[in-house]
Amino acid sequence: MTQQPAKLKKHRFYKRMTRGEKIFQVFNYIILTLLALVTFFPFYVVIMKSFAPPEDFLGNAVIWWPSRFMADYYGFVLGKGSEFMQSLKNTLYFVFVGTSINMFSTFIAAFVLAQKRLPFRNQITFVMVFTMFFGGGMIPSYLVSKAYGLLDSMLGLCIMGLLSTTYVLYLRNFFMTIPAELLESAQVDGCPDYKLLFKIILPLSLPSLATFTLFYAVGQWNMFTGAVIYLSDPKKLPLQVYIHRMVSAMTITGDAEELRNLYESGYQPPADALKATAIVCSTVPIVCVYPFLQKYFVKGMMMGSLKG
Amino acid sequence: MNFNLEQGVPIRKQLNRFKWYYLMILPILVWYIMFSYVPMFGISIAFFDYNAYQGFAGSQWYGFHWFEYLLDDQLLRIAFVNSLIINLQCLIFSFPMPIILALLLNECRAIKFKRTVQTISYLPHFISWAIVGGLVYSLLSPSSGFVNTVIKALGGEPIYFMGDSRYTRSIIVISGIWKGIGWGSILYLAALTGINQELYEAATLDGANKLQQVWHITLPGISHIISMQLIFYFTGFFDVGFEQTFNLVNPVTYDTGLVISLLVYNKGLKQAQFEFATAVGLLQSIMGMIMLVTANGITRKISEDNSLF
Repeated sequence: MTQQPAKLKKHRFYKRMTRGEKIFQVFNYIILTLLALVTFFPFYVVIMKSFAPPEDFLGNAVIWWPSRFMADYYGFVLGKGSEFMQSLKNTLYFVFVGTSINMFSTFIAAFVLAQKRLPFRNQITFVMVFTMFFGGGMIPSYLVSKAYGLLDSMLGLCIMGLLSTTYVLYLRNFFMTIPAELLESAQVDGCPDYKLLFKIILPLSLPSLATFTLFYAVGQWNMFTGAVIYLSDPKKLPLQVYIHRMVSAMTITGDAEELRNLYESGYQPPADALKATAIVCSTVPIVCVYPFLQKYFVKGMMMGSLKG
Repeated sequence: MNFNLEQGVPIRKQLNRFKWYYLMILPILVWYIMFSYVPMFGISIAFFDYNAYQGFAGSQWYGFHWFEYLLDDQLLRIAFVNSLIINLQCLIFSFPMPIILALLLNECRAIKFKRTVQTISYLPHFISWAIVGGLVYSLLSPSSGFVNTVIKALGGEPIYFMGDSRYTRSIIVISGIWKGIGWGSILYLAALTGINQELYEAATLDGANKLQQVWHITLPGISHIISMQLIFYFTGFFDVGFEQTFNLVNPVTYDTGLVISLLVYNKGLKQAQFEFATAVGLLQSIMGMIMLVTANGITRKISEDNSLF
């Protein structure tokens, strides 16, 4: 069989489209386009709000296009001493420290579990997998971390979220695809185990390690529940909790000097605009890493569905 | 039990060969015990009059007192009913959405267009519920929100959606669809590519139209994924995600929006009624397990291959 028959078949298939199918195709395009628009629309609205001058908000209607673009709100939200910047600092701590801890422990756990000859390997795996189905729940976990003295500590929160069992299993499955012959031949040549790790396994797994780093980092960036439960000091709260408080409390604080400038130049920054600005600022990083995420996550989903 | 031991080699020698590996994984196993297994035993405070200062040493056995107590609790009843209604609405409206999207994408012939739609539709999955909450507040704002602008343009009075408990459940369901439809479709799309294309050709030759093909080939082809997702779905039937409801429901709308996880949070962490909140959580997970087994059993009755266990 060559390529040609397939091509021919496809061609014939097109020609044979009935009128009903053509109508369906048109509807299909319309529905999918609508879906894409509906997904994008809320972002569009907040982006426009974040650039619109205060007078646009007096109209009491959607701002489709600002009468003029101004970036003053960004100066206010991202300015010195704003709560946004404080919580952003905390979130960056979680993203860097938390993700490093995540990756270090995930790598070790996956590497050990990928040793095909490790005695009691299945039993160790079971201890981990069991926790995916049973857990203590919110309150016992809270009381336990209180007993350990980890409450209200950012490092404590990172330790509590040490690793994700799912990612360990994915990475273990990847490690197990590295041909055993490759490792054995290196061993026969007298390569010690630790060298095996750094010279063969690490370079081979760099792309998938990058993927999991990205996944963990997005998880840390979006961290919410853990912070709500285990952190109470407002100075330690991450960005997402700040956004939640700002959206529901209807107040916002920011750079005092910027605020005075805004008032002096006759502006009353509308709360709506400032909220929109904070939302845009905390979404942009996700959108920036999104192309890289998207490249890998479908593959990740498949891996998970094949072997869990 | 497979202990992964080699025949004929002394156990001590085998263990010794892997001693560095055991040393590496030991801290991780200790972490699992400290943060997953110890809390599992902590569930037992649901049977105690827990003394927060002395721990279990100063606590008294209470038996099923808390469970009797919570059966009479008004708030729990509200949270239970709300969780159930929201999940039923999700089952009817949200659950089929990713399947429909996957079917539509599968019929789409323009590859670039299809990719673009997919890329856009996955994005909300990576946005936190706090942000989604902000977007919802912005869309539904009585002054500058899109929905109220439309209502005003049609001559209606603006509605304060987020403060009106009549709309809370719809907001939860619709925002859930918006966030999850694209991501949910990935699994179904993957299953769709596994269907043998010759079946469609044969059906076309037999004169089956598109709808008949979808009904007799496509849906049976992905039914194992659908039933798997459905079984998982039923496991969480007595609760609605904490992050979602925490960001979309406020005390004004508790009569329709209070769900079990919010109740556990409020009772346990806000009011420090640890035993009560743990008992609620325990009850919820037991009911989830019952649902899982029941759903799995029903699935097995209908079709042997599609059950999980």
